[in-house]
Amino acid sequence: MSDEKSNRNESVENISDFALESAASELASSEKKRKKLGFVAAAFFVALTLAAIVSTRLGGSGTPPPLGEIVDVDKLPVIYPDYLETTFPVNIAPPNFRIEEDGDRFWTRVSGSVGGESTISGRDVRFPMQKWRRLAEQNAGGRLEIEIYVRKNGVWSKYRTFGVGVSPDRIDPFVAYRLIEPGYEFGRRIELAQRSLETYRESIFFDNRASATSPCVNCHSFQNRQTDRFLFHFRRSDAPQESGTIVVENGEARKVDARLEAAAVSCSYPAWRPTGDLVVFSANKTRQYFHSLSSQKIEVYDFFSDLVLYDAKTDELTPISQTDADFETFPTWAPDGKKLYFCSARVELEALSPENATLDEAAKTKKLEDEAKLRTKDFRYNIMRATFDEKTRTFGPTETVVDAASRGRSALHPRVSPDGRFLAYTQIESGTFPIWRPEADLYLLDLATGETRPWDEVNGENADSYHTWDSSGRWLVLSSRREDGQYTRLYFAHVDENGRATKPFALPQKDPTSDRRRFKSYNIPELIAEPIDVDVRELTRAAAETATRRTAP
Amino acid sequence: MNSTKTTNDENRANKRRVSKMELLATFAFFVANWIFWGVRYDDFLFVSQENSLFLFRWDFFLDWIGTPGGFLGYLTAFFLQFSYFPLLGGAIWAFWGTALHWTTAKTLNLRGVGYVFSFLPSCCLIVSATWVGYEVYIPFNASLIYNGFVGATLATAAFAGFRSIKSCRARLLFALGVGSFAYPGFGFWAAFFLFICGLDEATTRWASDAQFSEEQISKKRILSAPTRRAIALTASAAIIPLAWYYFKYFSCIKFCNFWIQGLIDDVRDKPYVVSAFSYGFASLAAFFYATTLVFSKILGNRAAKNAGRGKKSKRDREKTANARILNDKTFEKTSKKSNVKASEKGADVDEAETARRLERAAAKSRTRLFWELTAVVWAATFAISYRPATFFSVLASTRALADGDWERVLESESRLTQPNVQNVALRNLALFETGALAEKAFERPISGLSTSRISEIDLNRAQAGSSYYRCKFWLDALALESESSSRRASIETIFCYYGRSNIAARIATDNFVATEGRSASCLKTLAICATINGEKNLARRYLNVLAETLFYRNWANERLAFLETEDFRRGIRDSLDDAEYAARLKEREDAAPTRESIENAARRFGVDSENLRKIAKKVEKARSLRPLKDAPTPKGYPNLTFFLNLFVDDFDDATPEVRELELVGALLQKNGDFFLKHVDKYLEERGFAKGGAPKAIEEGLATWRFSAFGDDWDKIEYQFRPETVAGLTAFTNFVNSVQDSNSPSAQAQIREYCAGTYWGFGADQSIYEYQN
Repeated sequence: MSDEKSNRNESVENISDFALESAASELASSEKKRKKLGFVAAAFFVALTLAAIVSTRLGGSGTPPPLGEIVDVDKLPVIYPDYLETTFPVNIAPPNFRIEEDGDRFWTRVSGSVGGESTISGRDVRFPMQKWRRLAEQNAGGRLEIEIYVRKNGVWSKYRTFGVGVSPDRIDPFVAYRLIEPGYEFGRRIELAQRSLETYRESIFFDNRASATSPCVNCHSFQNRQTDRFLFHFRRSDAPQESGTIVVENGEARKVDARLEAAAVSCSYPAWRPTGDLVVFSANKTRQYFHSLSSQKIEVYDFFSDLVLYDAKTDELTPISQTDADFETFPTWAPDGKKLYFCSARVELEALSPENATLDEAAKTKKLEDEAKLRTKDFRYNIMRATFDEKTRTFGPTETVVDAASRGRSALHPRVSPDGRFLAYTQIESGTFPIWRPEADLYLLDLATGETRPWDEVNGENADSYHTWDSSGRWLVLSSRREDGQYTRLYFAHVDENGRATKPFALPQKDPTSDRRRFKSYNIPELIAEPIDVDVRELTRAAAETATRRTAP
Repeated sequence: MNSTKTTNDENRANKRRVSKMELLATFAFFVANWIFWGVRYDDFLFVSQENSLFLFRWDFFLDWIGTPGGFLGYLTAFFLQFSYFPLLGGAIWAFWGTALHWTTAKTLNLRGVGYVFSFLPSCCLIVSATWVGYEVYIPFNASLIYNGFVGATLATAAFAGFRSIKSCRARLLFALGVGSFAYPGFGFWAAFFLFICGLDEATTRWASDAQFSEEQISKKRILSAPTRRAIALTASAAIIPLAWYYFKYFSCIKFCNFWIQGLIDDVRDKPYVVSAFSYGFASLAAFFYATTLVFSKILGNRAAKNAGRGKKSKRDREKTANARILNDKTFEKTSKKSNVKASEKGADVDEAETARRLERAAAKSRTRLFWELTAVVWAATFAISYRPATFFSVLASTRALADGDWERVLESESRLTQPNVQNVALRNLALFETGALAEKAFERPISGLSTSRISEIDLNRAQAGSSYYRCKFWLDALALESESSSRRASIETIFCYYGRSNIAARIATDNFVATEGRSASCLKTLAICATINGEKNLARRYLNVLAETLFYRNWANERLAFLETEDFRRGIRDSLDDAEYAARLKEREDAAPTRESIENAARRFGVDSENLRKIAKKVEKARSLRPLKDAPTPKGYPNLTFFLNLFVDDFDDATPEVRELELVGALLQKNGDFFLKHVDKYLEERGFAKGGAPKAIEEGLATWRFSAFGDDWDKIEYQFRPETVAGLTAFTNFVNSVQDSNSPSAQAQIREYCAGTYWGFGADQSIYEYQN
């Protein structure tokens, strides 16, 4: 009995052990299942998230439009930036754009006239870099046809196909510019930047915040579009003695005291001679005043303006023109360095008359400044030219190239094309500062024939002002306020051998709308053939040092 | 045994009571903070968020984090946007203030009365925020007003992590690691964290320091490990930011800002004063940390626990607690045996009872001390927070302007007995907008004292020994007054509402630049100006940004829709033709009034020349009261004076309302030439009957024509017009009748009669002094 009992007990124990074991194994297996399920669910969510990210990145909110259900819309689509019928250089970064039409799905097909095709879905049309490069290379000299489909309320519409040209002429791969908020008296953050046109990479090579008083930095200029020699100005209004010109040669920077002592004025608007060590500056005394109601908001005027020759080797400054009655400014060299172009205005100011000769310097300056302010609208600049003798470093007699004053206009910013055939300039009604003049337009003078014409192909509705040619002379960059009248943006146009230009296109951006959110102007664009490779520290160090001159003034 | 048990129970109950008391104090602190921000400083909060901007966008984020402390600024901007509803914003800042207090209390293990000291960092930051807030109102860098709350809380939380590490090497590495990696995101507060770690290291004895002799540690010899660690940490508070500056931020921040960047960005105009204040208050916060550390030692909450035994980990603390329970049980057992003996000794029971009573009394007194200290700390915070009536009136008016509620602006200004220039400017704007400027411009004081400018009365009070006014003097020496650059603060709005869209846009652009594009208020002004100017694409650019914000979305979308309407297209004004403008300018110059001698005029209009001489003397005296030509102070004020200086050339192009505004501005400015030059045209255009023009214009007309004397009395030249003859005689008689202008009633009469002229100005000033 006791054995039975003990056996039973044993079996009960065995059963319970078994039950426990099986329960435990069941628990373990269900735990495993749960883990597996959890893993699957996690993987699913990860995959879902990744898919969402990928689809967002690709802008993939739509599928190709079904054929047969498409309504043709007889109008060109609105896109930003406006790339309709523009021409791109073959080496440009993908010109992404945004479709500004109402709709819930978007689909774009780009096909080359020679070959190749790319389709992109989404409102933002962002070309993959490699795909774009292949497409551009393949169709260099041809066209890309762009079809845009938009789905709205379940109906797909196809807008009129437009094309963009692809020019085999390569543009200089970099552009240097100043990024500045269009403030009037306060430059908190002024940056000198360079941007690769073949990619979207922008880098800052000088930032004024590094300096103790956030000075104004401006007027960067490169010798012959190369970056081993360039300069820019560094101005401190609170401490003019600490202002100077930063001259960079082969990666080494120094601050030069480029001031015209006689007139107590710093030099600006530099122009490197294409070869050698010479730079021509314009020494200006500049002021500004404001209009509270006029559509022109601001007027900037000079009340002193002369040209100065600077030798980068010796730091010697030699005045070129010292005429009170003529204001000379905006010098630029012919590509061969044998001629100097500049702007000149004849001013007949009472303050400069012999009766005022007895006034002390401060009173004279004040009188001059006040009178110039009232008479700004009478100042009209012509474009002049003078030959240059390199041996004697002297300039020959001047001749008028563009007589704008006699037409009641002011011609500024002359720029000669690298082949020396064309002279592009800006024309406004009066004065010296086109960027604040809505009427500012580019003009083109054929130096061979002497014919001048408004350059309508490149002009926009608002101020079109600063422009430079690239090394090949086939591309032109200009700064323009055509977008909103306030923020200057960069535009590029192709120019053929007869001076015919294509419709300018805006600087391509990776995020096509990023320039809409950038509250800065792109200022003084200079196309350069190579990147600027100077240590920021070197520039900042030079900016902090005292401006000197190798040759005593 | 029972008595011991009772004592233990009481101890536990006491601890629970203390805990509850602390919790209650924390809760009360939160509520007090909430009321402080959400009710008392509601306008301050609202305007702060208007001067800030938060966009949930990657490029905006990247722009923020480009400079050290940028992440903290971004976070602060995120929290600040909710202050659009001040009660909500108040709750958020109350939360952060309380969080800082809580982390301080927990980190430093402050209990009982020591708990009160944990309020100090928060209170210090509150005071700092209000004072710095006043100062940075001008440059609009709102997020730096509040980033201390978030930064200090996170720094203290990291400090708690530091203190929980037992190994000194790990602790050191932790601090250096956090300090190094946090600097780009948190700027100053990362350095602050290292600083308090160093401070803590210098004042704490850790178990791991047992190897060092008592003498070495107590004397903090330079070679002892704890001292070395303290020095290393304190030095790293400077070295790490410096290293970051050198390797990363070299090109985008100034050397002088490498340490404080993040606490404060350089603000324009007066960077050093602002920096000094922010830095000073931050240092003060550090000082309070030091104080709390020292007090925590005095109270034995830390020093006794750590002395010789080392700092304990959580596990160690549990062990100690278990050991205590075990000890209690052992004690209980031993007590059981001795219980009989104890009961026999009734005297002992009495003694225990007495001890308990004493303990209760002591606890009560500690509780009283706790609440008294708490009340003192809070009251002090409340008292020394910056809240001048004039400044808060400006804030209230600015907030009212956001709603276009002009009555509220007038009501807010009317409560002030001594308005400052900004109040006057905003009041004038409200009067202009309600069409009553020319009638009421001079009913209230036409000039104002700047908020912290030392008046003569203040000077007397200070000399009489008032510490408050002495303090004002001290602050004045530091140039802590926003009025010196007040046009930054409200002038863009003022010009915008006066219809001077270009100049409003110009100033708003400058302010926008100053804030690096982070100001909703500037964006609003710019959008309005662009809309007025008919610059559709420009308006759209600004509105699109505002449409991305949480609380200005509707405002922006409404205006975006307006840009597409016919009303907008019709409203685009034609630009002036330049040649036409020049011709008009010339015409105006040619038509400038001619002058004649006083004798001729007196003869011509039949007025006694002696009377004129008397008037002239008055005029001469009054003229000495007017601001000097080109004096910087009145020029910089954002009132009509400043307005007029800029736009005298625009009179003919202005609307009739704006012309009236300019004439009143001329009276404020005492610019008689301008007034006389333009008043006829205005009167003709408005068709007022003689004597029927608005009060200020009429009085200005009468008095200015008498006051156009030159300084050289022998060659006085002035002009009269026939319509002013009656006024001249009446005015001469009037002047004779109030020769004794010292009596208040006469002054009041002068003010009433001559308001709008510099006679009025002089009288106004004298009445001021009398009233004060």
